[in-house]
Order: sequence, then structure tokens, then C-alpha cells
Amino acid sequence: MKNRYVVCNDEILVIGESTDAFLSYFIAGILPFAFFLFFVGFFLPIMPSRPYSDRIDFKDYNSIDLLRNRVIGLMSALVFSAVLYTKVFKYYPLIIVFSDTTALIFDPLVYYTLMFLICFFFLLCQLIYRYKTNLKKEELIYLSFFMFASLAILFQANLIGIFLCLELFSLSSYLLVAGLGRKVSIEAAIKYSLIGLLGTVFFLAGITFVILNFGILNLFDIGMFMRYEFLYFSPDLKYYALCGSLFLISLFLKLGVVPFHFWILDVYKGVSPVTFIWLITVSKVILVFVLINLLQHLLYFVSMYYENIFLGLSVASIIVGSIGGLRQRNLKGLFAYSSIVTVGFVLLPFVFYFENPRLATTLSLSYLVVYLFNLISFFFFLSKYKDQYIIFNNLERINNITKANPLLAFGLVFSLFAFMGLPPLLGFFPKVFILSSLIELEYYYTVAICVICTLFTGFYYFLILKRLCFSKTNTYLNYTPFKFFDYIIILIIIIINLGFIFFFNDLLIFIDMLF
Amino acid sequence: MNMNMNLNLNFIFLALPLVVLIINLVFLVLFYNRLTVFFVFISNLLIFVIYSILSCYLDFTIIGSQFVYQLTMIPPYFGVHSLIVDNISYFFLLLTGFLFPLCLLYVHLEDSISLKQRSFIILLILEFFIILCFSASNFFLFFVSFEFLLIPMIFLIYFFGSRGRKVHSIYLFLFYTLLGSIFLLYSLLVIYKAYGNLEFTSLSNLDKLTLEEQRLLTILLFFGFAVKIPVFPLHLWLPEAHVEAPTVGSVLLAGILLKLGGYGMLRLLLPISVNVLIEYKAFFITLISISILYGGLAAIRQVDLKKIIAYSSVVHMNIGLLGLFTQTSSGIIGFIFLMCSHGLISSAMFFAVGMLYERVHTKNILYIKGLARIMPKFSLFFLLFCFANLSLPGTCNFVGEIVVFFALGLENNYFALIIGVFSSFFCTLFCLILIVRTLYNQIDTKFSVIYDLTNGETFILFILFFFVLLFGICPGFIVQNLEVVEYIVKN
Repeated sequence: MKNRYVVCNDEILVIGESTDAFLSYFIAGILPFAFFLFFVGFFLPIMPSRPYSDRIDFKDYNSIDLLRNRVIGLMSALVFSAVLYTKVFKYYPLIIVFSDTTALIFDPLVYYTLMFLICFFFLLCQLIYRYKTNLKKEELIYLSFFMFASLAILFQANLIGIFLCLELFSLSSYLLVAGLGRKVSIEAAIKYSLIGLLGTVFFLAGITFVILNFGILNLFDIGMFMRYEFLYFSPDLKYYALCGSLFLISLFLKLGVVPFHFWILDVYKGVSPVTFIWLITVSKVILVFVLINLLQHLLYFVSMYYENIFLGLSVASIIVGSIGGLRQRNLKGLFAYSSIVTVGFVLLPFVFYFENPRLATTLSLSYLVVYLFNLISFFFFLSKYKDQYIIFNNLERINNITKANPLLAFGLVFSLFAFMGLPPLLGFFPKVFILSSLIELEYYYTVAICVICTLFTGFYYFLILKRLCFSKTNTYLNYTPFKFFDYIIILIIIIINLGFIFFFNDLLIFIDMLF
Repeated sequence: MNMNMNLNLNFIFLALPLVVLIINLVFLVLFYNRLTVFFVFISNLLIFVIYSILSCYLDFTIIGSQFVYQLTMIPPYFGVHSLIVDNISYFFLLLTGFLFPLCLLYVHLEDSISLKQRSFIILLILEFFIILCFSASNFFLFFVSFEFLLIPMIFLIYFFGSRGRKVHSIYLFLFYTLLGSIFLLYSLLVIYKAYGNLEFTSLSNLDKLTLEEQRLLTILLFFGFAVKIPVFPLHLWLPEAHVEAPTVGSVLLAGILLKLGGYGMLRLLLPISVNVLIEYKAFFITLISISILYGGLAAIRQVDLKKIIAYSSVVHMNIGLLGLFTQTSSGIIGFIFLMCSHGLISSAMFFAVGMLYERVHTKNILYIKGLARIMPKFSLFFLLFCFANLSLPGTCNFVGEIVVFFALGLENNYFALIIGVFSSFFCTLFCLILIVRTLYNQIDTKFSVIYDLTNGETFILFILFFFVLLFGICPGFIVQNLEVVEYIVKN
């Protein structure tokens, strides 16, 4: 089995086990580990030296200079590596490192997802700083493992590797949910871990199936195997489809797609605001990435049997998410339901995955990216409130902000309208493209249901909007004063929102190019 | 040389107003002072002049776009995007160009508005998107700008609205419009699937649509635009939004935003539903007749001046729709004429009510008495506009209504004709109530300190009344050779 690949053309570079072990370690190990070290270094200097206290007090120990230096350092490193990458490999190379035990892949999709995630982590760290969160020392370690696992999972082309990274990721997220150890949080953590472990069981069952049928766990090997020798002539594709759906069930459990969504509200209500933001964003990126990876290499030839599964589950999650959010008076609850709707829309293009895999993946990723951008911009604006903790738990406390700071209100309203999907703003384009491609395939009723459900989602985003801008209370509102940097961020967000009509096509082409 | 000349004209007539508005917005945001305000006025007048000159270059007997400016910077989602003007969208563009300078002037004259800069910015954003909407060449661009108008309208109502129920009215406004937009979005997707593009000009080729699709689109498009007209079950947002909006907001809402619904029906619904409209005509005309009767009856019982005018605009818009659904040349011309005349008259009424509200701080007709002796100039204009609203011969509303009624009679649609004629009786009734209650009654001593109209306000009302009379006395001035064969049912 060893060194079966040869160098086919300039674009594919395959490295066997014995030849270049160092390169494989460098690619898969160094980058996540460097970021791991970097993150520890980011928070170590601000750890308190005060005795009898195990919490970090940001007000005393955080200096803005330190942060700024880190920002500049990280940005320059990113830019440098990007430039280096495009200079060295001009053809978007595909590097596959494999042996019997490890299989690593490094292609444009992995590279850009990596860059995206690193930038994203940086923004989330900024949010931790902005939300003035008190972190335990243990929590820093959990966060580091969380990031390490989520970066390392991108390189894995081996099912065991994916499984291990997913477990590390889940384990650290259970601990993050437990957080400071409040009763609610511990309950949430127990629920989350039980659900996660159930998902793990399904994943393991899927791996067992793979090793029973193919004898190997490398996704590339299986892909080749399936395409050219085995499955193409196989009479019982349905059996493989059934077994492969174990993977899907595992991922759906962790994503919170509708029949498996009951944990999502309890868990998200129990966590602290910052952990909530981390979970709701990063876990989606990782799980959707894994889903795409599996579909691409393992389940492509049986994905036509999943058409109805994807259709039913995504439409069900859109309906449940949009109707369930109507009775929520809690910001976390609202966003939990909106995340269910988002997962529904992200899974919806996979309905035509078998016919057109590139288009499906592009559309779902573009929806995800836009949603994440909206979420980050909303939480950035919300971080300007001084008492976010109260706001997160009770929507009634969000007061009239237009009188206090019109610019902040303007930004919040803009990001909420973008969530609603009003036409020229961000949320509209991915949605309308997904629906348009579905109606090309004559899914008339599905599209009708989705379009009606967007009205309901609009309804509950308007609830937040009403509280934010139009409430009659005149209580004094605490907000952090704006700095120059904040104004620039607001300007960028508004320009991206309004000008998205000009460069959404470029985003689609860019994502499409990665496959 | 000729090509070059034509290109320049395309740019001037279609893109230049938008460019001017963007420059204005940048100036207003960055440095707000007297000079900037002056600049804004000049450029708005320039836009009106551009649209007036456009009438000399436009041939009203030709169907189809006569000036095209391609928007190359927008990527071709759902087909290529360009700005066009033809003999139908021209009237709406002219109305927009005419009303906005008056609104800006009104905002400038009104002393009580402390947030003048914000108000100017919102108005200019509105104007930008309205112009984009009326000159869009395809459904996608039209839909995008149509929906975006919500945001500046909501801010206009919120920042400058008068009373405590404004949140409720915003809520109604937003959700009725979103309800309409889901119908429109669905029909957009269906049309794109059938045609492969969304150009208005390609819609008349009905070979690509099956009969079921035509039926589906007819119903979807009718309800999508009926929210904006508004037709009976979907009309509740309009009185609320009018009452809560500031004067300028009401003027734009009645003057232009309601016309977007009619324009959309003319552009999209009529070409698509040529073959199947006969099946749904009875249903549509019943709804329209109900809203005419309902609007007339509701207006009689209202005590709020703005609500009365809002319901009267429901009546007039729906009478226009009756003309539209006759699918005859005269009916459609009557519809366009009625849109223009309603844009002038209702906006004039709202201006007048706003001026009154500035002085007496109430819109309740039970409290406003005997204005004729205190404010003679205002009373004169208000009386004349009330007469225009009840379509007295000689004003432009009369011409539009009588053309629509003739079209209905020629089509032997006597049911709708009788309803329409009865509704003019209700219109007369509530306009007379309005006149008697507010102008001729015993004088309230509390009102003795009120001063009459200033020169600027008189100018606004006078210029509106001048055009009302002009189009009433010589209506051929605007619709002489208008050709609408594209929308007529062919036998």
C-alpha cells in the first residue's frame, strides 16, 4: 500500500512516509502549535501575580499597548505567510502526506480555512478583551486546546485523525461550557457532553464500518478505491449509504440539526457570553468543514441517497428555528434558534450535492461566512454596552440606545437588518442564491417554505431591534466611549454591508476556486 | 459622433442624478453648513431640470427603453443590470424629481426640526433609491431598491415621528412590506427560472411560461404589490404609518412610495398575466371595490386629519387600479394620469396638514375650528385642495377618474363603474366634512394667536396647486401621445 501515489503533474505533490517526515510534521504540526504557543503567550503576561486569587482581573492587568503589539505582530505574520505561500506555490498545490497511520492534506481549502480561522480566533480574543471577561487559568488552557484541535483538524485526511481532533475539540468545549462552575453551567456541560458522546459513538460506528469494508482509513485511499475499483460497480450502494449515514448522524447531533436539536437551548442558555460566541461560531465552521471533507472523499457516490435526508432535515430546522424563536425573550435563546435556522440553510445546498458538488459547497460556505461576519459585527457592537451580562440573560434590559449613541444604534440596526436579509445587505445574497439554485431544480414547495420562514426570523430579529432602538424607557445607559479604531471598524462594517452587492460574486468565485 | 452624443445623453439622464445625490450625501455627512444646504437645493433642482429636459428628447409614441445606461460595476447576478427610461417610467421619475425639492424646502423652513442634517441625509438616501427603483431595467434591481426603501422610511418615522404609537406603526409597516416582499421574492425566482433573465422587456414573451406558472405569478405579483397600493385586507399599515410619520414622510409615502406598487403592477403583472387575468379579474376587482367602499366609509368616521387623507388615498389609488385592470389603452392612461394627480394632490394635502399641525399642534378635527377667519391664505389653499381631492372638474383628479370610468363603461364593467361613481360621492362627503369642520365653524379663542402661512409655505402650496390646475385644464400636456400597446390585451 505504501507510496502508491506518484507525482501526476505539477499540481500534486505526494510524499510517502519514509521520504519527508519532517515536512509533514512541519505542515501539520508547526502551524497549529505555533498558534497554540502564541495564544498562551498572549495571555501569560497578563496573568495576575496577586496571591489568593485565581482569576485574571482585566482592568488592572490589561494594557492596550500589549494588545496592539500583538495585533501588529499577528497581522504581519499572516500577511507574510500568505505572500510567501502565493510566491512559492503558484498553482495551488495539493500536498498529501500519508502512511498507514497518518494522512495529512494541505490544499488551498485547508490553507484558506486555516487563515480564516486564525483571523477569526484573533477577533474572538479581541471580543474576550472587549467583554472584560474574567477567565480562570484553566479556561485559558481549555481555550488553547480548543484552538489547537480546531486548527489541527483541518489537515487530517485520516478518519482516526479526524476522530481524535474532533474529540479533543469536543472535550475542551465541554469544559468551556462548565466555565466558572455555576450550577446552570454544569448542568449544561453535562447535557452537552452526553450529546457529544452519543455523537462520538455514532462516529466510531461509522469508522468501524469503513475499516470492515475497505480495510483502510485514509480518505484519499478510500476515495480512489471507491471511485475506480469497488463502488462504481457495486450492486448494494444502499448498504453503504446506510452505513455512511452514521457519520452524518454524528455530525448532525453536534451541529444541532432539527431532530437532534433539543440540547441546544439548554446548553447555550447555561454558558457565559464569551463562551457562547466561541461555541456558536467555531464549532459550526469545524463541523461543516468535516462534513464537506467526508462528503467529498467518502460519501460522494452515495450522496444521491442523502438528498431527501438533507432536504427534510434542513427544511425542518428552518421551520423549527424560525417558529421556535418567536417566544424567546433571551438573547442567547434567540441566537440559539437563529443558529438552527443557519444550519438549515447551510445544509440546504447539499440537496444537489451529487449533481453539482462545487456549487453546493460554494453556496453553503458563502452562507456560513456571511452569517459569521454578521454575528461578529453584532457582538462587536454589543460589546460597547457596559452591562452585557444582564443583556445576554434578559432582553428586557436592552434600552433605548438611539438617544445615548446614534452611531452605535445605527451599527446594531444595520447588522440586525443584515440578519433579516433585507435585500442590499449581507444576509440577502447567499439566501437568494441558494433558493434560486433550488428552484432551478423545481423544489417549489421547499423554496416557498423557506421564504415564508424568513418572515418569522425577521419577526424575532425585529424584537431585538425594537428593544434596542424603539423602547420607551429612558434609564441611563452605560456604554464605553468610542475610540478612533472603533469608528474605523464601524465604517468598514457598514461599507461591507452596503457594498456587498458589488463583490458577492467575487466571494463566490474565490470559494469556488478552492475546490 | 452621434453614438458619442447618445452616450453622453444616457449618462446625463440616467446616471447623473444618482451621482449628484451621492456627492450631496458625502458633503452632508462630512461638512454640514449653509453652503452645503444651498448645494443640496441646487442639485435637487438640477435633477428636476434634467428630468424636465428629458421630456423633449423622449418620444412618447415609442414603446421600449429609449435611453440605456449600463451599470457595469454590479456583477451580472440574474442578468445584466442597467438603468433605462421609457415613456411610462418617465412620469414617475418626473414626479420624484418634482416632489423632493419641495420636501427639502419644507424641512428647511420648519423651525422646530432640530435634526435637520439627519433629516436631509435620510431624504437624499430615499431619493437615491426611489430613482434607482423607477429607472431599473430588471426585476432584481427593482426589488433590491424597493426593499431598501424600508430602512430610510423606518428611520424617518422613528426620528421625526410625532407620537407614542410610532413603534407600532413601524412594526406594521415593516411586516406588511416584508409580507409583500416574500411574494415578490418567490415570483422573482420563478420568473428567473423560466426566462433566464429578469429584464422587463423580455417579460412579454409568454411562450416560456406555462399556464400554471402564469396563474401562480399573477396571484403572487398581485398580492406582492397590493401591500403597497394598498388593497383591502393588506391596507392596515397605511393610516398608522401616515399618522405617525412626519409631514415629509407622509408626503413621500403618499406621493411616491404608493406609486411603486402601481408601477410594479404595470411593469410586471400586466405583461405576464395577459392570458390568464380574465380568470382572476372578478376576484381582484371585488377586492379593489371593497377597498374603495371601505376607504370611503372609513374616511367619513375619522377624526384625525391625516387618517382622512390616508383613507382618501386608498380610494384614489384603487380607482386607478380599476383602470389598470381594464387592460385597455384608455384605462392604463387613466391609471398613469391618476397616479400623477394623486401624487400632487395628496402630497399637497399632507403639506397643508403639516403646516396646520406646526401651528395648532393637533390633527384632531374636533378641536380645529373657524380657520377661515384666522388663516385666510391657508384656508384658501386647503379649500382648493379639498375640492381637487373630491375631483372637481378642472382639477387633474377629475380627468384621471373620468378616463378610468369611461374605460370601465366601454368594457361593460358596470359593477366596478357603479362602485367607483359611488365612491366619489363618499369622497365628496368627507371632503365637505373636512371643509365645514375646520374652516367654517365658530372661532375657537385659543386659536387667535395663530399666524398665517409664511412666504415659503405659500410658495410650496401655490406651485402644487398650479400644476394641479394645469394638468386639470390641459391634460393632453402630459399624456397626449402616450402609447401603452404593450400592456393591452390582444385579441
